[in-house]
Amino acid sequence: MQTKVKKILVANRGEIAVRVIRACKELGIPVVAVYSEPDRKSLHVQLADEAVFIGPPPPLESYLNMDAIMDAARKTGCDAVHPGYGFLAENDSFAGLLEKEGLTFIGPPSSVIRSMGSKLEARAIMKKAGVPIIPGLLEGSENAGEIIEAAGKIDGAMFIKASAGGGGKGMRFVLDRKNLPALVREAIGEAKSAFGNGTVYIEEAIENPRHIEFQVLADNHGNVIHLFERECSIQRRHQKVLEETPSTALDDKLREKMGRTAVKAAQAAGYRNAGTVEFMLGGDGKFYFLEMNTRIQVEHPITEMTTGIDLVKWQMRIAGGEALAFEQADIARRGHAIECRIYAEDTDNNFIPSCGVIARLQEPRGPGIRNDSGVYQGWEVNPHYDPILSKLVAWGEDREAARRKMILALDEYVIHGIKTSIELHKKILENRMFIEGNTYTDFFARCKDDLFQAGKKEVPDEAFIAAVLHNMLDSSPAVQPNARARLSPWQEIGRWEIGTGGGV
Amino acid sequence: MEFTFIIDDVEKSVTVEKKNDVYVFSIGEREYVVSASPLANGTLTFFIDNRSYIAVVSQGEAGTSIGLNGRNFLVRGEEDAGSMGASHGSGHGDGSVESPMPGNIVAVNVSEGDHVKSGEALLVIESMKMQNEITAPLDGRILKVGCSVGDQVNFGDVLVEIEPA
Repeated sequence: MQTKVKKILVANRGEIAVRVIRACKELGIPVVAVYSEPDRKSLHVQLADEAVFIGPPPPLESYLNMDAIMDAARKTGCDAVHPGYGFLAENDSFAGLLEKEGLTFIGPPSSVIRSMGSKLEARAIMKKAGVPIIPGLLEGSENAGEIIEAAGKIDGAMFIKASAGGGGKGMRFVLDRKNLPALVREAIGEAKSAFGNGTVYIEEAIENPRHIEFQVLADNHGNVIHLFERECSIQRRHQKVLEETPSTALDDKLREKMGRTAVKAAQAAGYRNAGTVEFMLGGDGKFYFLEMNTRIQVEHPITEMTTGIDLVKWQMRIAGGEALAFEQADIARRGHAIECRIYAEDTDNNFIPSCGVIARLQEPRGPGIRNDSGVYQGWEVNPHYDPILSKLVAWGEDREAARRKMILALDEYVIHGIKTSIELHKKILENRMFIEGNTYTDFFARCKDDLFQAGKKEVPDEAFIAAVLHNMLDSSPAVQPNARARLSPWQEIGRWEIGTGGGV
Repeated sequence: MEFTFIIDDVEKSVTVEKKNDVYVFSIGEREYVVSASPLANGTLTFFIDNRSYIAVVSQGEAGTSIGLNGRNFLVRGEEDAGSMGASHGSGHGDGSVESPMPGNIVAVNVSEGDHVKSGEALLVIESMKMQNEITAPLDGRILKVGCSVGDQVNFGDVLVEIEPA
């Protein structure tokens, strides 16, 4: 039986490192940050009890550098490592290395990360356990001819997927069968270069799909519960943009059925700690296991806001051998929560990343508002890592209250110096499709004319009045960012359009 | 007093007159009666009739940013606007494709002598884990490819030169 963890190293950066560090401090557990060269002055380094330098900017040499992280843990006397999400969070070799060295990995056992990391193996485990899987092939292949032949048995549109896949890599949508051979070869090539494993398989395409996931918690004493769903259908380039709970697509009967299935899936996987079971929900109300995420999710705060359970703190407790203090029947939902992922990117310009110094930062406030942020005024957003700046969460008594609260919070949120997704989030929340709860995975494609604006924008007279008043009254404070403000490319080279091919 | 500003590429001329405690603005056909007070924290509050506005103002090298009702505006004066126009010409019109972001080159799809159409993918830059396709701004022939796979590039580095067709 494990004992309580005594000192935790957080093998991550940005907002999730900040979130985990705060949870450790609340629990009274000493916490150590690690950082790469450009993160020397980052928020997570400031908040931790100790911080260890682990290497140069490229992730492979720092946040993915297992040896450097192991050294940091040994040097500081840590007995546990929290991986956050991304980086080493779903790397079974890293979890295995910690197990071998006698340190606690705050997450599931390495064997579970490995089996769930292989989509084909996960499908086989779920099928055996009676969890519905998306109809399609159970065997994969690196041989294009075999896959093309096997695809003959499948009706209608389909997806080619990489067994080792993630983030849309090695994935292709096939609508017209005459493109199948070329797409299979592309997918195999991409999977090979991205994962070193070219094995692909085929799944039928689900019509009007929604992406619904269930949060689960499993302790080391055989208790497994779910904490209801998160609706994550609004995505771009297979990355989630906005999440909410509860989902407008579920009634209580379906919710209960999916929740029970999620628990069954976690049990079949031999799961421990906090995890997420992802489902595809079709327009016909049928749902299918998609994959299991063996980590804390980016969007975990909306579950915390509606259930009142601190998932990150429970991760530490479970890792330390504690049993869950509640049963399924004790878990209740209250109200509605929405999360907007605030990214540093130019949403009107094909989402190209936006780097630079945050010249001004004013965060929204008010009851029911939570902002999990990893940045501060004067911080320079660099090109090496994920562009997430913060996760803005609004809780309301019902969906409409949460939606209105979020719009007000976005209005109050000021970030100067870089481009952000704040305005895009407002447009999503004000879109009729969203208001009516019609959130499908093709939301962006369906609503693109309402959400994106090419060329000149309307600028209201009020903005000119503010500019003149500022000029006459000189209201600017002496804002001195830490680093020299770098000209953004829009100032250096004028308007750019990427992927659309148009001129100005 | 008269001001001409360019905000997010929209140019407007504004005349303003101080009358007792208020300012009277004229923009195009419209007139606004405004009272204003700057706050010490770089925030400007003003009223148009009785409607209250809060503008968050900050000064960066790129110009003045104004946050108003959840939108950010970038303000440039007339002089800035002139230089902006010039750099715009050199960066875009003549077929010199510069990097719009720092990142790593992960794919180069063209080589010297190739003919490309406007909108055709030239190369892919990876930045912040995202792959960004850089496309041809115009039809033409590739004169020079200034980068190869694995290169680290910065803002404004010339990636490809295209001779306009």
